[in-house]
Parts: sequence; structure tokens; C-alpha cells
Amino acid sequence: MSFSPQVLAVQAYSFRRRMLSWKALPALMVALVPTFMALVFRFFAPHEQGGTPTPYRMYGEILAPMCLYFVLPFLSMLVMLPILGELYEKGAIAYLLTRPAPRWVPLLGLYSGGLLALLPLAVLCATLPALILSPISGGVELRFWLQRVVFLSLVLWIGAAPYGALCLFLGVWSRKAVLWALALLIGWGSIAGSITGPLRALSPHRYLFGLLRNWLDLSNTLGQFSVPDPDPPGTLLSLLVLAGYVLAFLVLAYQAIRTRDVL
Amino acid sequence: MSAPVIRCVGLARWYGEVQGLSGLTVDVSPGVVGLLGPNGSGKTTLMRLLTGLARPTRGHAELFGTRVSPDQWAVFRRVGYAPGDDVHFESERGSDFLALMARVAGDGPMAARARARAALEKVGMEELATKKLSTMSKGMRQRIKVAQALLLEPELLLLDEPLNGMDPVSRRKTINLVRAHGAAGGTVLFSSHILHEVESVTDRMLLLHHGRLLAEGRLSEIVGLLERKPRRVQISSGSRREIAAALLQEDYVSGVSFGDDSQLLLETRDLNRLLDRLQAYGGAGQIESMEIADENLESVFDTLVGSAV
Amino acid sequence: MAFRAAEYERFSGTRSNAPPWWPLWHATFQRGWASRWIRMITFGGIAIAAIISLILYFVQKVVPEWRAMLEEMGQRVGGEGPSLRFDAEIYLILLHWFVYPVLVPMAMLLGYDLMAGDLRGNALESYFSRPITPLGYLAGRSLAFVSFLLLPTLAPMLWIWCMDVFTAPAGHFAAVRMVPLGLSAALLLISLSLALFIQALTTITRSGLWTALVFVILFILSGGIGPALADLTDQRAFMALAFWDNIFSVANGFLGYPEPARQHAPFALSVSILGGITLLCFLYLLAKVKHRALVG
Repeated sequence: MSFSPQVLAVQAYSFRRRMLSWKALPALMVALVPTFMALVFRFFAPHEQGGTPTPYRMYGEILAPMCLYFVLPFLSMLVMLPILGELYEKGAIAYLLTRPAPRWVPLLGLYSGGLLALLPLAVLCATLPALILSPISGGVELRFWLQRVVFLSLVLWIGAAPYGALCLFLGVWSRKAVLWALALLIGWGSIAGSITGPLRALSPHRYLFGLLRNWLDLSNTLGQFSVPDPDPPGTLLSLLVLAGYVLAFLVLAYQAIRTRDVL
Repeated sequence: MSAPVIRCVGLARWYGEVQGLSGLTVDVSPGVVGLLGPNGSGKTTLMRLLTGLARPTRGHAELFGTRVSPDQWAVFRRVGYAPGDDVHFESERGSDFLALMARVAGDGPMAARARARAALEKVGMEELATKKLSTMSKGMRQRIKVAQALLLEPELLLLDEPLNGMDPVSRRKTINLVRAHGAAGGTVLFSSHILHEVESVTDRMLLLHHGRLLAEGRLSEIVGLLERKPRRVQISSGSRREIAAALLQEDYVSGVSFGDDSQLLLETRDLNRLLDRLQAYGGAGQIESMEIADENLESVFDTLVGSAV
Repeated sequence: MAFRAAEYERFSGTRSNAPPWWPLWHATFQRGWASRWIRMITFGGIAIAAIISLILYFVQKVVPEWRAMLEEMGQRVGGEGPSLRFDAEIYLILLHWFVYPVLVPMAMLLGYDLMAGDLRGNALESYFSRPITPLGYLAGRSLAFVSFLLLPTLAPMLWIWCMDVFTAPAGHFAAVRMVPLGLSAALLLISLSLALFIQALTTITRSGLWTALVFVILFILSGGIGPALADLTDQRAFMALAFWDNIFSVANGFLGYPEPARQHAPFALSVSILGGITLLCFLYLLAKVKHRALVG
């Protein structure tokens, strides 16, 4: 028996809910943070001074890592935590859980809908700063800018997959989901993934930084956002690890949705 | 012999130190059954345990012979559930919400729309279905909730306080729907804390109190109990002494007592005669307020557990 | 003619002389205190002060010259950089220990359900059927919130100041005499703006999850953007984008260090921002509450 129509129905609802309500605004604001920074850089930075980076470097070496470090975790939290967390908080999840369908159907539908809603946000987050900075970038060809925009959008969206699944799990598993998400996405993700230490190899951020370095052709030093990785992961390994995390977090979320009471 | 529609075997649920439901063992066969009990008696807990939304601390529940668990989702093809809380997918329109629920149940887009329309017609909401749930009144949302329960034309309806917030016309409509479902061979578990609501849909009831099954049987027996029991009426009057003196002469007044300020508590075995008499005092402007003190379920429970005054 | 709720008109008992917001303050304080987390954080703040006091006392007993020794050591290690001084500036360092682990979690835990809870439970209508005005309601709720924020921050810091003055050699008092006033003014403004800001945030959405999420993200993300932009543009005014930086900048100013703290936003800008947030949130909340009021 195929459940894909059911999953698609929930997915459409989830996408609509994330995109077409006022609750999309905070996520949009967060996605626009790099744009704001690019604007400030363009109009306020002392470009004539030696220490200021070029717009192309500013995009690749400051804004792109910053998007991964700050914007991605917060976007994932804003879009994915409430998907199930809010339904549980209000009790409306009861309607979905009393349908003649296994519980992974609403879970997968809500997750994929949220992930779909993150795609335009990731594209916006990567594109607008490039539009602001590219006109003042001098001799840098458009294709280089395009390449960076496409790959940064892709890395952000790929990163949203494991973090989104983790948020989904936390939204069901804990009533203090925000605190857990903060600890895990910022602590274990952004911070542990960019500093040396035993946790770095386990952090999804290490592999996201790996993809960013490989695809945006950046050096192994990402300025203030990451210390050099002694053994940088390749593209395939990064993708495999991130896919593994998605699977693991979705399994955890399924276990949580099977066992949490709706009160 | 076929299995009962609902079977609870030693079903218990604790919320930390608080007892939600305590060792409930009961079978429910087809027909309409009222689930009566005051707030906090365990009605909603029982509904949640029956739908697998909460896990029992002890015991288990069965629907159509299938033990309730998150993995036994197929049984929900035969069950419609309307939760007691006023919760919905607020951002959705009424018709979209119902169509979504039908689609999650396995319908295609067209079939889901048709099913939603049919359910809306049953509750008389077809005109208002394009409104967003967040902008509907509570009564409208209640009707949408009932429509959602009826969506898959289930054999068993679990309705948790469905008449809350409904206007008289909607109440009548819902009551008729429930009765018709029972008459057609279906089963309805209809919870309420208001005696006459349950009385209007069925004579069969389960009475819960403090998480325990206090009584099971015919509602008419309970109403009879109430009729034999002395009733109390509390009035507030500036001339309460004169009224008390006059009423004590009547054989249907079994006792009077004075409360704070201007209050007077009257006890009677014939409520109607006392009310007729009080109406005369009221007409003369001698009574400021009046309340029938024990016209509620608590007095039934008091009577049943033998602690009535 | 203003509509008066029936209960208000009918009440014939003896009214207390306490202002109408007082019972609400009391109820809010009791409700907050019932939370295990709030109690833990409060005791945490008090524990920090107790530990520092004990250390101060015993170190003073064992090595009476420790302040001069540490200052000298700080000058040798720091070279040209800022040296360690045992004057009011030390309280700025101390403030970090109370803002991050005490003030912010406390604000989050306490704030998210105050007015949002009243709105969710339609409690405002009940409040306003009593003789309390929207301003009284807002004062009761907000002052209780501010009291909670000050209890584990200002009170322990003042206690540490007392211990500092008590154990220090003569002449030290002159260097720190403005600390109680400065700390009180700074923490009062910070707490008031935080309390009103969180309450305003909670009234936008009735979901506790959303409130916590937006507050946390605003706090952390603004904390990242401010320094990054100040660094890029070489203009420290951009530090004012960071909510937490305004807290320290205001404390700097009130303790008498507006200019030397180059890493913070300008004092006047930070005070304006916190003052602006306080005023805007107050007006927003008042309008929101008045909307639900029957009386006043």
C-alpha cells in the first residue's frame, strides 16, 4: 500500500502553513540578515582602507560562513521546530494521529513540507547579498558570482535537512524544545563543528563547512567562523554523513511521535 | 459472539501524582452511550486512551477487538473522534481542513472534497465552510469538529463534549445526528458534564467520578433518584424572615436556613410548587436573586456515593 | 458614560488601602516563585554572591595586600593594554556573571507566560471586572517581573559591594561609592526594558514556543550581527544592534565609564535604544490591554 498521496497532502499543508502565514515573517527576517549586512558593508565600510575585504571575498569568506554559522540554525529552528511542536502544544496533532494512516505519514509530510519552505529562504539568503555586492566587485566575472550563489543556496538547503529533522524530533520529544535546539544546533552544530576537539568530527557543521569549502572554492581557514580543519572532509563523505543524520533524526522523531502523549 | 465495540480492561492513567482514570473495566455495545462526569472526572482521559493519544499506565483498551496502540492505525477507518479542546488547524478554511483530513485518510483530491462537502452538509455548515477556522465562532468550530468526526462515515463516534459553545439550533442538529447514528446501528460515546445534554441523546450512560466508574446503566434511574431527593433553593431577599415564616407553613417545604446577609436556603420535596410560590414573591419585587442550589451533577454524585446532605 | 462591570458596582465589602496593582504584583510574584526553575536561578544568583563574598573575606584575612598585588601583576601582564583595577570597573566584569546565566534565562522563563497566559486564558476580562485599570494591571505584572529580575542580580551585586567595602582598606570606598546608584540605575533600566519587551513579544503570539524562539534568536543573532558590522565598518555605533551590548554599554555609562569601553556601543545610543524599546513596548502593551478592558 502506497502512502505517498497522504504524505503529499500533509506536505502541501505544511508548506502552505510555513509560507503563507505571518509566522513566515521571523524566518524571512533571519534570511534577510546577510542582505542587511551586505547593504551596511556596501554603504558604510571604508573601502578605500587596506584592511577591508573586497566584495567578492566579503561574500565568500564572511557572509557565506556566517550564513552557515548563524542563519542556518536559526532558519531551521524557526521553520521546523513549530511544525510539530506547535501542533503538540495546542493539541491539534490529535486530528492527524487519529487518521487511518501510520504515524510516519504525517511526520514525513510535515518534514518535507517544511524543508520545501526552506528552499526559497535559502535562495533568498544567498542571492540578495550577491545582487548588492556584485555591482561593486570590479573585475569578478558574473559566472563566479552565480556559482557561489547557487552553491551557497544548495549548502544551506542541504544543511537544513539534518537540522530540520533534528528540530522536528526535538519539537515532539521535549517541551523545552527551544533550549534543546539552541544547545544542539548552536552548541553541537555551529560551535563544535568549527573548533578543534573531539566533538568536531560528529558535528554536521564540519561537513557543511566541508561542502562550503569544496563548492565555493574557499581556503581551509574560514576567518573568524572556523579554525582550519586538519583533515577536511570530501564532498561525498560530507553528503553521506549529512544523509545519515537526516535518517537518524527522522527515526528518532518517529519514535517520539509514537510515544509522546497528547495532553 | 462478536467483540464489543469498546472494551476497557483495568484501564488506568496517572499524571504524575494525579489520577486521571483508575482501573476502568467496561464493555460498550452498539448504540448511543453517554459518558457523564464533572470536570476532572476522567472523561477526556478515557477518550484519549481510546484513541491512542495517551498511553495507559495500566490495563488496555480495545476498539472492535483490536488493542489500541499507535501501530493499530487501521482501526481509525472505523472511528471518528472529536476532541474536547477547542483546537484546530486555525490557518485552514473549514472545507480545506476537512479535505486535508480525508486526504490523510487515503482519499484522492476530488473524493476528499466530496467527502468534506457531505460532512459539512450534515452539520449545516456548507455555507460557512470557506471561512478560516481562526475567524469562526466557537460554536462553528465545534460543528466543524463534529463534521471531521463524521468524515469517514465511521461505525464508532467518540465525541468529547461536542455541544460546548453551540447555539440551540446547532445543538438540536448535532443531537439528531448522534441519535440517527445510534439508530442506524452505529456506536456513539458522547461525553458531557451536563445531565440534560446526555438525557437528550440517550438513556444509556457511564458515570465517571474521580477517575472511577461510579455507575453504569439507565439515565432514567438517576433522574428518578434526583426526584426523590430533597431539592434546595437559595434566594436573596430583604424580607427573608417574612418569606421563611410563610413558607414554613407549607407542607412541601421541609426546611429553611439563613445564610449570610440576605440569603435564605429552602429545602423542598416538590420543587415545582415551591418555584410557583416564589414566583409570586418575585413578582412583588421581594426576591433579588434565586438559585436552584443542587441542579447539577455534583448532587447526583453526592446522592450516589451516599454523602448527600 | 463608561461601562462598569457588574462585579465592580456590586462589591460592598471593605476595600484594602493597597493600590490596585498590589494584589496583581503579589499574585505574579507568587506564581513565579512556584516555578522550580525560577527558584533555582534565584538561588544561583545568590550563591554566586555568597561564594564571592566568602572568597573576599578569607583572601582579605590571609593576604591583606592582595588588591595591590593583583593590580601590580595585571599591569605587568597587560603591558600597554588595560590593567586590572579594583575600582568600579570590576563591577562591569562581575555583571557578565549575572547577565548571561541569571538575567537572560530568568527573563525567558518568567516572561513567556505572563501576559500571553492571561490572553490565552481570557483572564484580562476577569481582571478588568475588578477595580483595576489597564495601567494598574501593566504595573502589577511588570513590576513583579522586574522584581524577579533584580532579586538574583542587583541584590547579590549590592551584597558583594557591601562585602567589598567592608573588607577593603581605607580609601577604597571613594573609588566605588557610586556603584550602588550606578548598578541600580543600570539594572533597573535593563530589567524594565527586558520585562516590557518580552511581554510585548508574548502578546504577539500566544504560543510559548514561538515567544521563546523569537526572543532567543533575536538575542543571539543581534549579538552576532552587531560586532561583525562594527568590525567591518569600523563604527562602534553598529554594536548597538546587539541587544546584550546595550546592556553592558548602559552599565558602563552608569558606573562612570562611558568612553574608555571602546568595544561597546556609545552610552547615549544604548540608553536611547533601551529607553526607546521600553517606551514603545509600554505604549504597545497599554494599547493592547486597554483593548480588552471594560473599566478604566
